[in-house]
Amino acid sequence: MIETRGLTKRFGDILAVDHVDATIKDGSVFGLIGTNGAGKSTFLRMLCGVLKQDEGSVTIDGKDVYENVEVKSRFFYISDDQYFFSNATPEEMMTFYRTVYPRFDKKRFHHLMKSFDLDERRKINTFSKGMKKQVSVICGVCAGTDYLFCDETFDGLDPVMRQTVKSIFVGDMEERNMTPIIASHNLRELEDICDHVGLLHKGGILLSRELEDMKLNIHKIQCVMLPGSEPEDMTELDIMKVERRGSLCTLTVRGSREDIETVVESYHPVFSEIIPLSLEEIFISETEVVGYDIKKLVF
Amino acid sequence: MTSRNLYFNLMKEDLKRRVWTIALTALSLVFTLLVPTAIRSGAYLDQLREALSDYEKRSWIRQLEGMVGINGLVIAVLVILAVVWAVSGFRYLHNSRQVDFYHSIPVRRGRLFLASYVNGILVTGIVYFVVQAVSVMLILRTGIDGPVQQGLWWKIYLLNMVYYVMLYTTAVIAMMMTGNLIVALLGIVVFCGYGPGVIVLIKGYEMMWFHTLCDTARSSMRWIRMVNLSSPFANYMFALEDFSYGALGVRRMAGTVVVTAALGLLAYVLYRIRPSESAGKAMAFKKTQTPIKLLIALPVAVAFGIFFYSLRSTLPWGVFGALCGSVITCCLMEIIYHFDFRKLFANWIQMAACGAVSVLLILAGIYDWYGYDSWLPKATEVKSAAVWLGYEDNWVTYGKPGIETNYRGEEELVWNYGSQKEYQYEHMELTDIYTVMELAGKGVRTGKELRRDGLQIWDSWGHDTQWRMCAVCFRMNNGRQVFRQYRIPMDDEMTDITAAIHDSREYKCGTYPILTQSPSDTASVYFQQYDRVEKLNVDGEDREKLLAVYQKELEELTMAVRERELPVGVIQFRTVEHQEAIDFYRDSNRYDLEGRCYYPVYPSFTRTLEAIRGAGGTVDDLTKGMISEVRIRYYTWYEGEDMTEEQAAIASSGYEGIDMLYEKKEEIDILSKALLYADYYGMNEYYKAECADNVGVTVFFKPRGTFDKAAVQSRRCQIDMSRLTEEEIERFGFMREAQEN
Repeated sequence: MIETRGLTKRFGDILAVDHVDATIKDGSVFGLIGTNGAGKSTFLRMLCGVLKQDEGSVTIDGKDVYENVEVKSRFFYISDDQYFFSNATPEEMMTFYRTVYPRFDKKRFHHLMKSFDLDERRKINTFSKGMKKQVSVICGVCAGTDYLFCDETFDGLDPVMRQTVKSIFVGDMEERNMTPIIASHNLRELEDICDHVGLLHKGGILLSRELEDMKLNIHKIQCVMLPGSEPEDMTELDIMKVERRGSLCTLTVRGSREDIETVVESYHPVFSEIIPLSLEEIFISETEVVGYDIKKLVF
Repeated sequence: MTSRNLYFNLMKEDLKRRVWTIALTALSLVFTLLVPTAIRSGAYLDQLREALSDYEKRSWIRQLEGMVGINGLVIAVLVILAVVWAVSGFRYLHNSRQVDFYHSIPVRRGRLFLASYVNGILVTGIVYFVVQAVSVMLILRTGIDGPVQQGLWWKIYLLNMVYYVMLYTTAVIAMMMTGNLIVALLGIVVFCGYGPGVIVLIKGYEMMWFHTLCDTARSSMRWIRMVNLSSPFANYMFALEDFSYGALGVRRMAGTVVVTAALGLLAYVLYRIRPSESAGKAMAFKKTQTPIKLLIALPVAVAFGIFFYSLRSTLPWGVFGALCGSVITCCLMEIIYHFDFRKLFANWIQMAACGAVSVLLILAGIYDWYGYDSWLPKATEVKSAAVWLGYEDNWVTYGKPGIETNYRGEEELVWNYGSQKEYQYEHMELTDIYTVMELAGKGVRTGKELRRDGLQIWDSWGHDTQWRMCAVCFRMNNGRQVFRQYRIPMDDEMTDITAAIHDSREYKCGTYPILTQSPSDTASVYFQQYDRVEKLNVDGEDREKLLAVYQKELEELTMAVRERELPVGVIQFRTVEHQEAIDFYRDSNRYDLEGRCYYPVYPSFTRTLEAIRGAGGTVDDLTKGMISEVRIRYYTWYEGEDMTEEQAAIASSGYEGIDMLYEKKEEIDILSKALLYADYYGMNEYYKAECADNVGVTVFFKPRGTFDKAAVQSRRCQIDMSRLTEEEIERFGFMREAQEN
């Protein structure tokens, strides 16, 4: 388990990460979202021991990360613009990684390279941006580490490749309990993979929740009320937002699905239906509650 | 994987990425050392098939030995390689992508550092060793085994490698302290040039405003030592110089190794504490920015102040220069630090502070706030003194022969030159302190006047006033020695002071080494007059007596005598070691040792002249029919109304001059009474003569007596017009020195 307590980093006068407390449980996918400059990369670079924090702590299973080889051998960091040696081929990169990651799975590397249709002996600097991302992801998963830190890794991958990578992550999570920590500025990228999401804004963490918890506790209802009654009349509901299109009302309501259904039925609407919320909509609602306009922060 | 395996794997991976550096190292050393050695050794073998003189053979041997010895090209290549290896090894620290990559992998930073650092030493060390060894083998093939016999090749290898590592480590430190390649290269330049630069600046500051500062051998040595220790590059150059004079300095090498180890440790620590986020920034450590800026800006500001003051010698220009230097340097540093031109005034308070301090330093210099030039000891505090009266008696030979070992381990006899000033400081014990104080007081007063008028100690030489540079060594009662130099106008008062000092026995004992020479040191005596050198027939007691008589008369020589007499000949009391040196170099034209250590014999040295004659020496007179002809070259650059028609014709002909030969007895009689024999005239600057200004005179002597070295000997002379009538001057077309308006 990765834990940060009061994690702070300043670059001169700029406070990049501001007293962040976060817990990343093993075996789940942690999504770190935020706008450009929110501090995601800085946070990740501190997690993987590249940067030394000014204040606070970063620990993996209670052990400090910075300059701790034992702990660092448990994760692989894929930066948003991964570095490959000049004129190196994927094969040469594998050779290097094998010297520093003892559990590097050479066989799997060859297999994945073949599956992704990437030439192991071609210079990486001749690859496209997406192909480079694929090479870095393959190196990352083959390193056999417990954690995989991905900074904007899906940015540049086509939808098919994105799904493929996600399925590899899922497979590794199931097989060896790998924990991917994925930073992205795009909520939609993380929607179908993350178990836990942390929202960073201006260096601080605005929100950190289990996605399922959020999904279970917030619902969207489309309904047509009886003439003379309004959705606001359903005072038993914790209505967060009401939108109207003619007689069709869309409510965002906090609470369990059963409770909401019971209350709505008691008002005998002409029509009512509970529809699923996207991660984006959940975030909009949740951050609005804490006083932020998520559209300005993320989208 | 064991940590040792990991370390070697890291080294291997590091080398894979730096193949180009290995190739550059090999190519540069092969083409600067191996290939030239192969070419030259081949050429030497070809030459050997033909007849080579001993001299040519020696020259070839020296050339070939030099290839694997102190080879300038190899040294230059090693210096460049030190920078290249440092840059290629730690360039990744300046790129955030690469820093993320290297610092996220599970390897300790110290290990990463060591892998790169050691590679930079090992590769160059191995390649250089191989190239050097192969070059030595090529030389051995020619039959020259000096480099192996004397261990020259491995000694220079060791020396070059030790300094390579030192320079390499310095460059690595520059890479650690910066986050940008250009700034790192500037840093390397600063590390290698800052110390010597500041020392030069301090010397410049002293020269500009410490007018009475007097350099001595000890102070010069101190400066040289400071330059030597001020930068790795300077230290390397000094080490090479030392090596060329003798064997490998073990102490120096040990010291260099210790310093290099300390620098290596510093580089290691810097690597470990270096923030990864500093990649791409100018400076890796923010705390170093201000001290580095001030350490550079302040000397530059003072240098600007000195430069502008030297142009106009006025306070406003000095202050302008200091402020200009501060502003320009601080702004430049801020631009570099921020990589943003708009940040040039980012730290204006520091800029103002730097400007203020530099202006204060300039003001302190201009107004002598240090009180250095106005310092004058109390007479009672001075135990004794030594005085250097300008460039007087610069014909005296100081120093003596000595044995030195060159870098090939061969012993060489060389003449260790000495300085007049140093000899006087060491040997002169003037006890007439009040006269010395008068001289010093006059010097201080003159200095104040010069300073008030914004003049330098070297200014105004062209004015009518005759000036004299003097230096005084005050030996204080507490044992301290204080040195000062003064520039003093030669007025009557100064003439009296100079005469009083000159005439004292202590002054002469502290100026002429002959006065402390013992009879037991004296091997033989030679008397030289004009074109003739005679060995005097004196042995044992007679030699002792002659030496004693000469010493006595030289001691008693007064300025009044020197004002009216010129030497009639010169005498040499050749010491035993002087004779040995002459014998050593008898077949070489490297040194003219026989002509050294001659002393003047004045006409008033009657007892000496009598002893010379008694010992078989001949004392002639130029006016007594010795001269066969006189050749006078009239130079054409004096054009004017006084020119004779003949001279005017010469002037218009475009030739440098024309030679006139005077052979008639009447002409020679007239000229010979005015002839000043140049060598003897040069030995007495107190003699008052009015020399013709437009001529060069050469006399030709008649073949004489036992001296048959050559049928005709010629010697340079001058014409003293004060000994001629106006008619005679006009007849020969002599001209007085042009007077300045």
